[in-house]
Amino acid sequence: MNWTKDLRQGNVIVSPGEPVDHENADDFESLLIPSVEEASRSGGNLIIDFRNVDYMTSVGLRALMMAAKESESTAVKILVAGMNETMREIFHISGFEKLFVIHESLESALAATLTT
Amino acid sequence: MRSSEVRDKLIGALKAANGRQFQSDAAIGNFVDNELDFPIRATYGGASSCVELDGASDEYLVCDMGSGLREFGLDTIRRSNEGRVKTYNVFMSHLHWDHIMGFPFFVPAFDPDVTIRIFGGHDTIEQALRRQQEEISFPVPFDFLKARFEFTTLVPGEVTEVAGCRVELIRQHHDNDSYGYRFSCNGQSVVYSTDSEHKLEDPLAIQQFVDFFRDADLVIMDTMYSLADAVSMKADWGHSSNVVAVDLCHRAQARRLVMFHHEPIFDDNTIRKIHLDTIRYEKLMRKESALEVLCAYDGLEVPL
Repeated sequence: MNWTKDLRQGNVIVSPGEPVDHENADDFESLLIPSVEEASRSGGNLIIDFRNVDYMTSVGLRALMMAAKESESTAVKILVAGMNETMREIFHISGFEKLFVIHESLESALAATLTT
Repeated sequence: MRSSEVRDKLIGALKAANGRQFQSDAAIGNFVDNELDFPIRATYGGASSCVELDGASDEYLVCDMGSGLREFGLDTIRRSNEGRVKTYNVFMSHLHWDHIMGFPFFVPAFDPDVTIRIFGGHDTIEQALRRQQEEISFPVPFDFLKARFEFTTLVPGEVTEVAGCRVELIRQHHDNDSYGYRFSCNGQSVVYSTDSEHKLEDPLAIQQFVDFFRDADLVIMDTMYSLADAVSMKADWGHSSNVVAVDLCHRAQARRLVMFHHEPIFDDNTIRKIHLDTIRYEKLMRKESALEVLCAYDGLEVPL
């Protein structure tokens, strides 16, 4: 899947470039899980920038949950940022808004990592 | 339902009426039916799983024998007295207590002119029903029942013809397994799939359900938990979510979804909110034709 990764201020920033559904959820998970380990190694957090993701189905949400479980044995926090209104609604309806720290933008997520 | 909940509904209805005067009972009925939201004018109820498929045959077809079976049985006595054939074809998802608890109160079982055929993927159905009738649990032993019983174990992948319907089943992820059914009758298809957890990490298993639901006119599906709960603290509890139900039905291009097997701790307002959320999710995720999203309540009838 289209995917970019960046390292800023010790934080790993990943940015999927397309919607996540049953066609690419496996790719999404296989890219996402190692990013938790990378963030742990760099002593930072994992920020998932959803600015280019129009929507996500249940299989994509499950991959996020797997990343969250992966982070439990580390000091890594997972922050999600840049969601459009559809993604926000999906997070609300699925109950995922209670499981993840949500930020308006990548910049606000990065700012939050500086204060924690 | 608790008295306090009835009181809340009455308060809600009177507030909505806002002092309005009605000229007739019909006018009041019209107001109730069309201007009050479901949790104010009605209740989802609390009966456990029991779903009738009506209209395919002169014989009765019913899925599961939860507490709803009692009311179903009494109503069929009336219908049988009007000439309906006294043969019941029952399809069991599984044998957990909430799916068999209606059987001891199923009055037609005491009628010697009744035939009860019970189908399922488990070969322990008769054992489960007999055990439930034993003295420690119930005063009437199984052998006292007068109806004629037939038990048939079905095999996933095989097609069975019952009462004019083509019946297929699929094994589902649930403690000690459960089975979903697809009924194809008179050119229409209905899927009954409850107590079924979908392991999203297994795309082949998911695809099997997409194929099983394919182009169904109606899918009655377990939507007990939120997706967040279903993949975290309630993983392996054997139930599904509204989000997965919509995703599966969209992929299968099913026509209608009935949200089923509500979480028992949810009140009417909570279930209504989940229903509205699910309608919204369907709209957000829709790529092709619309999926109508209904929400089960005791007594719901869905014409096909």
